[in-house]
Amino acid sequence: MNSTTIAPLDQSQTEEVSSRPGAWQRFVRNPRSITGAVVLLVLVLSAVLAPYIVKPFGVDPITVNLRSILEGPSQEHILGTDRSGRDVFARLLYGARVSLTIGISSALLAVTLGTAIGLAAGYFGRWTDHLLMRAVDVGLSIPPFLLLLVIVSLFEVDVVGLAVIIGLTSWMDTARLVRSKVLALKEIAFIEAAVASGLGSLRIIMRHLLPNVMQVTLVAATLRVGYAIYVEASLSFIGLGIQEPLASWGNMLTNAYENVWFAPLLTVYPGLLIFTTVMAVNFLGDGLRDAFDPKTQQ
Amino acid sequence: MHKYLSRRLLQVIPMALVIATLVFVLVQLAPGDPAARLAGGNLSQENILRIRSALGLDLPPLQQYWQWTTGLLKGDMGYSLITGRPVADQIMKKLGNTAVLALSALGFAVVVSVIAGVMSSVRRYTLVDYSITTVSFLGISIPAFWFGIMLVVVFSVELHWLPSSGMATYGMGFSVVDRLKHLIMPTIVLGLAYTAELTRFLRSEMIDVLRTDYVLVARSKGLSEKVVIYKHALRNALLPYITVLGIFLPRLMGGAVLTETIFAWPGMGLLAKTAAFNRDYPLVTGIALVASVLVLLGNVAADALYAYIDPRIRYE
Repeated sequence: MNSTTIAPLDQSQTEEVSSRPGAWQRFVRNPRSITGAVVLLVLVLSAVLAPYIVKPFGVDPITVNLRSILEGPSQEHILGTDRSGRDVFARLLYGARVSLTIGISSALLAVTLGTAIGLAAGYFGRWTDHLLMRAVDVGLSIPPFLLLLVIVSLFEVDVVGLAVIIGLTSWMDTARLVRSKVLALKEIAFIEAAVASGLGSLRIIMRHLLPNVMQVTLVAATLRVGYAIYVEASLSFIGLGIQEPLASWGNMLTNAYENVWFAPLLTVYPGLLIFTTVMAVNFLGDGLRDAFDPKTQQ
Repeated sequence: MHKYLSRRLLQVIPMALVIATLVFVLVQLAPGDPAARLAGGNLSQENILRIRSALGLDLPPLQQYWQWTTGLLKGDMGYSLITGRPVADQIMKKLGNTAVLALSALGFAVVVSVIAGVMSSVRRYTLVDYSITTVSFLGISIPAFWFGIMLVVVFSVELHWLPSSGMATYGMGFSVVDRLKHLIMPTIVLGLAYTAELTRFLRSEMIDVLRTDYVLVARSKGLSEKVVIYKHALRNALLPYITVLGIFLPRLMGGAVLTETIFAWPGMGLLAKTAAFNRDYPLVTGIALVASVLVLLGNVAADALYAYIDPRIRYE
């Protein structure tokens, strides 16, 4: 027997498992997932188009003007100015770039790593599984935020660096999820058939297992984006993430909190944006999960 | 039971050693020489060499590793680069304050989530349930540190009801009321995400349990609804709840850094933040290690609690 004779069988099998009828409809009909998707789309567009959006106002995110600090909303500065006289509206828009870049890229990194490790652990089993899962246990018992503090106290990090370290410290959950999914898949005959037909491990993993864990991975990736945005904002908030003059919602919040007794309103905007973004991502993630797996819906 | 627990406690040691090794490798990988960084480019070569030998950085890595791990087993975590004081002493001074805050937040989360989770599952699909589910979804998504700031804006800046920072009013003698006033906002902020997640979790567990046959049997025996819910259903739903309680512990430690920063709470989290800011890496790594060990111990405690609640489980 060789792979050509087995091909039609495994194709129909993967199709049956991956194209659950109705997943897309379930997703589109769920008002929460649509809300999440629309809000995120607006955020991504505003981040990408930030320079064009601020142009008509004649403002930018970094020009300091010490003659107009902590001003309230005006024609020129529609959300006012911060303690260095910089335009708050422009900084919020440019902050979205930082948040979304870090959120999306670190989620991709975490989920790629987690999926690879989960696939390897689940497929190879035995000592590979043992070793990798012990690594996951260790990773899960170090408080992630403190591990990040250790890293930022040792290394210089910029936007890319932050995305990398957040990604490297948050792959463990995905690895666990993917591993258990692989263990379940191994019980299904088509994987056994692929093994029996003498396919190479890499081929089985890439062609047969990976497509079937993509749903799990996609949901995990979405939820990771929210987590990463929150972590970046937290780090920047305590002064250890993105440094001024580069705008991040986190460092804007620190800046505003220092003047909370004079200009309390400034603390509202950046936090509200973090909140909205994380909530939109969670809506989308929950929506995807419910669409793929109706059993979780309550 | 005792045998099982002591074995679990012993397993904490190798795990802690692995974490310590990981941290050691991270420190070794860091670019630049801590001695030079500490000197800030103002010191002569000779002085840098002196700092290096004082910190033991001139030894070969393996020997440094040996010193670091044997030191840890004796409770020696090195010295702060900034104050020169032993890391262990500095942490011990702040540990109590963080414990007060963390236990208070944990207690808040457990009490609120059990009440809300039970109410929400028993009155499923009513207004009560929808309100609780919505609030807990918001609680998961809201950035805790921003929520903390908003509390300060409302209750300190606008209403002047609650103090915005510290553990006690400066210059005031010990007063329980004053202490509690300082504890309220930090507790809610640290406990918020925890409460929300636990509520969601307990709700879905309870819904599953209320569908089981033994609950049906309990009801058909004519037991009162109160007994069915609290003695039969809740007790079983609490088992996985406790596991989740343990899983969330690491985040509680991370949350303490943010909460203590907002409210200037003089604990381990604020110490970690300041140390990271000063690039005082022995102190930061020390705190990360202590926090990890606390998490590991917390999980052992969760297992013990598990056995206590579930009579079927008898660890041998």
